[in-house]
Amino acid sequence: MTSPLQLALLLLALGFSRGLQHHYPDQADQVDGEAELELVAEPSKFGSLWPLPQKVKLSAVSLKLTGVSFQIADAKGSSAGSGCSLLQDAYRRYYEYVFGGAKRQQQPGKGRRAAGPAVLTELQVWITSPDPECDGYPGVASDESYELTVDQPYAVLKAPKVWGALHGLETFSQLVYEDEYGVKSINSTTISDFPRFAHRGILLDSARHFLPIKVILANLETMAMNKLNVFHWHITDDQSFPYLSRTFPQLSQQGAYHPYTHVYTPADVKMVVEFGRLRGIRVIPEFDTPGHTQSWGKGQTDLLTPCYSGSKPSGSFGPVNPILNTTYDFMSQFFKEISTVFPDAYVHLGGDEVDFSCWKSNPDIQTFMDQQGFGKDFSKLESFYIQKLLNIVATTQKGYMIWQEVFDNGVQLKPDAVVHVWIGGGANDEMGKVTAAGYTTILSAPWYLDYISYAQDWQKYYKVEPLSFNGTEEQKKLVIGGEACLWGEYVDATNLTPRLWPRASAVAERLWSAADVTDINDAFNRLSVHRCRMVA
Amino acid sequence: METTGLVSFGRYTCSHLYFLLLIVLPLGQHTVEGVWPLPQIFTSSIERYPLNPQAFYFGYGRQSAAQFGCSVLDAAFIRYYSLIFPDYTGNGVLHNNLSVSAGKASLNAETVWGAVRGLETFSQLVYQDDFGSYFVNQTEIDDFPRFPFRGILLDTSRHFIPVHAILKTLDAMAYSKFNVFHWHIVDDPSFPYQSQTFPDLSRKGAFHPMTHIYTQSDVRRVISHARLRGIRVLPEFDSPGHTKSWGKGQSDLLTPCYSGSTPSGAFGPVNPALPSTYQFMATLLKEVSSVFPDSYIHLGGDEVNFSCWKSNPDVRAFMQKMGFGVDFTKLEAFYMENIVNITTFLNKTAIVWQDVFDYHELIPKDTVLHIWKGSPANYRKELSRMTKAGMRVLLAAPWYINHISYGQDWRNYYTVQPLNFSGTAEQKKLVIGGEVCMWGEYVDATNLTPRLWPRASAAAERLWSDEKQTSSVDKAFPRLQDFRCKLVRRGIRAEPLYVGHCKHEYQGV
Repeated sequence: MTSPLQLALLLLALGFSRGLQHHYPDQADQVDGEAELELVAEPSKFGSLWPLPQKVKLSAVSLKLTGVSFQIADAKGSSAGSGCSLLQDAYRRYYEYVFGGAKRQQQPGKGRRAAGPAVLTELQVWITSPDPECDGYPGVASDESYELTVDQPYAVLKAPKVWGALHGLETFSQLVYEDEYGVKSINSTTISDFPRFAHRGILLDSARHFLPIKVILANLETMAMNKLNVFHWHITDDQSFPYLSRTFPQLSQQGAYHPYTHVYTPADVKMVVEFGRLRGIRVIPEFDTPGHTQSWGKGQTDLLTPCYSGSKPSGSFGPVNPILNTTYDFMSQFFKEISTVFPDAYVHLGGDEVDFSCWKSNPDIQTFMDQQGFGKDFSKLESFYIQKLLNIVATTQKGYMIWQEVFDNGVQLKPDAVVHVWIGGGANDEMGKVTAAGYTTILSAPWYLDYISYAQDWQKYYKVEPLSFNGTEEQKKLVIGGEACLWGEYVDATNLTPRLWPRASAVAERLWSAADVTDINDAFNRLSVHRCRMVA
Repeated sequence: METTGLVSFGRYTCSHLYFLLLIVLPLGQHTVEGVWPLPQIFTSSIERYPLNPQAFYFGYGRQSAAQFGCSVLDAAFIRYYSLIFPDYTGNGVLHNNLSVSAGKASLNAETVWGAVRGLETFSQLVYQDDFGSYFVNQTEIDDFPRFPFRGILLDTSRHFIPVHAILKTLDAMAYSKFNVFHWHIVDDPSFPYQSQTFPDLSRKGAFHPMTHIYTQSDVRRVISHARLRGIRVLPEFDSPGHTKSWGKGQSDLLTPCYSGSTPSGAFGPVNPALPSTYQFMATLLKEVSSVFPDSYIHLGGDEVNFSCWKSNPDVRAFMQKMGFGVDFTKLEAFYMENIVNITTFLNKTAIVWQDVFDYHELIPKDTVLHIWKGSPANYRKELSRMTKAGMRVLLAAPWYINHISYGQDWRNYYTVQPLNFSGTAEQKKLVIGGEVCMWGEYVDATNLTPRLWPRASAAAERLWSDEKQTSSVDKAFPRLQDFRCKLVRRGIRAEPLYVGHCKHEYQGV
């Protein structure tokens, strides 16, 4: 496809970018050696749409919008009306967003409307199915599709459910552009859109560093701009337990970095869940066990395994103690609470990176292993624990997600369990295995965004193809999406936003847009503008 | 009960002044938290003195050469009062009566600049207990910097950095005792400096002629903000390369590149063959030297691409005339020599990137050479070579902080040994300091602060403190973590070093 002329342009661009690369020490030159081609932003034929919709027809006919006359309103036939506060809030949000939160800056009666070109005065939002799901929560099966037609005399946004309408409003706002005089225009456009994958998530880790609520909310806002729909809240870990449990308040009292300033109260959690819901975002909490639980032990005695040094307890603790009935009583009560606090149909149960050395050292555990006939195979003990935990969670009417190790260890999973693939190198094989076993899966291995590097690493995230593993059509259908993970070892409120965005936007487009949307130059052009929009 | 805590600071540089920090007394116990960068001589005891925000004040010592009316210190007193007592919102810093039981801390410095550093140190000694009371331990400090030049480079051409972000950076620099802001103000992508003599340069060469420029008053604000914090502002007008944006507002300045026998429409470095070039540069640099009061000026001189010069028949003819043959390094040397002479005439000392020396060892002896290239082995060789030639040197190569990577890369910046090269003691004296460079390809106001801090603070300690006392990275770690929380508490969006928390987390978004 590359004509000689294009090749010449490419070389020119390369030469130009060399000129821009100022002052690299030698070691960095090696970085340049494997260089991705550096890009120079130019206008894309798709404007600044991000992620790119499935079907777009843009025309050159432009219509003006003014804050004075423009409104977003329910269409006559819509099943959602003014009682649908989710939509009404969204209308106001996007109006303010399009017109810069303006108090209607432009003066009426200046005659521009009469004399000037065609004006778009209304966006009609039409929810087509009988139940718009205004008061519901988004879920993995939610219909997120929409159709958007921008034309005279008004634009129409049709969606079966409110979730599609939210995405359509975002798309509409991305179509509006401003000329040098501050006049807003939109081109006549037809868009038909739906996500390629149902699960499009961001993982934030509020245990390695506490993340203030407003940082989380700002992140949800940005997720909506990228049509991401799952906030995976890795809320606790070894380092801290910031979740304030009503049933076990001592968990955060003793296990948080600070019992008042570094905790999430029930009201905080409610706020996050509702803020997410209003943007079509699910909040899936992760309470990772039996490993990654050091902080749990501070507020809950006898929960963790006492490690031994020789014949005496060493004073340190290992993973959750799987041989005590009290452990399971605790887990039942705890997850019962979680199932009411977090409305999503899924909860993430972790199950990754269990260190067996402490279990090995403990004589009671050894005895138990013998009784159970596990021999020396501690993965059997792990599976024993997880199995019991899964059964407990199943009684709360929740589905569960688990990290891939749980599947690898042969734990029996419910058919609706979601296996989360995170281990880099071999992720494709793992996807093949998980789906061959008939389980749904999501992919994170190539999208560990906490691993930063110099220059445009977004390209690496963008080039991932989640379905590139060997498998049948049926297997591929079991891949319901992916998540970008921003683990918190080196991340807190000071640097979260610039580390996550726009790098996570690359993942967002991969998970939303059609598989053949792979033009990195066009992506760069659109993403450059999209970034400026996120900054503004 | 009436013990006097003496905090004395000395040896900062010129004339004498003394002043007093007045502290209210009783005793208690607490281990001292760290000071960053580590002072040269530091002794403290567990004896602690409470500070009462309502009674505490800074005053000038009776024998101090500086008294009320000294702009730098008057402003510093006010600034440090609120840095020391972040919870206390009252004013009247200088108007409270002295309590009879008041004790005194004294800070002696030879210049106001030393006093400003001493105030920073003092502010880091004060801590709050769990009940919010303020304390300082009995401490004695004698401090001075290892290197006189401790700089940060910001690049405002790849991305425009709004003035408020520059000012914030200056605040944070003072907290780490940096003293030079190297302002790489223009480059290929944009020319945001609004020149009085050549307004077209920014009108046509900036990303936007109104919103993405530094006006004269912006520049004055930066300089005055920096001065009050003991920070020099060193402007860099890099030429003859890195000048694409200059060409937009100044025709005939850049070399027209040729493709065969006709101009290709593209332009290369500044045209060294035209007398008008030197007239222009002399006029521009004259303006720059009056706008920026520092006695140094950075002239760049790096990464000149010769291909355009080679293509141009006029340049080639000039080469013949000058007897340079086909050696374009001679042409570059010729250009730089002329530019350095212009600054000499303007009574400014020139700083140039190492390329200039690499091409042309015979540049005026008082020029400072700036090393930016290479691995430790390479820059050590360069340090040897340059100091052997009797030139003063600045080291930036190990501190290209725009190159980010996963994990605790501050350790690499910390373990640099700037004087670990082969050379005599005299040669080592010629290393005047170092600089942390934050090039702007991937940096703007959205990510500047967390990328810069606290990673740059690692270099700050290397440039300020005694190397023997600060050779352990692991010992530095808790102190730097603590310092990072201080930065966050002061509103600097400094990123975490590793897992953990600060008592007061960053509250913005």
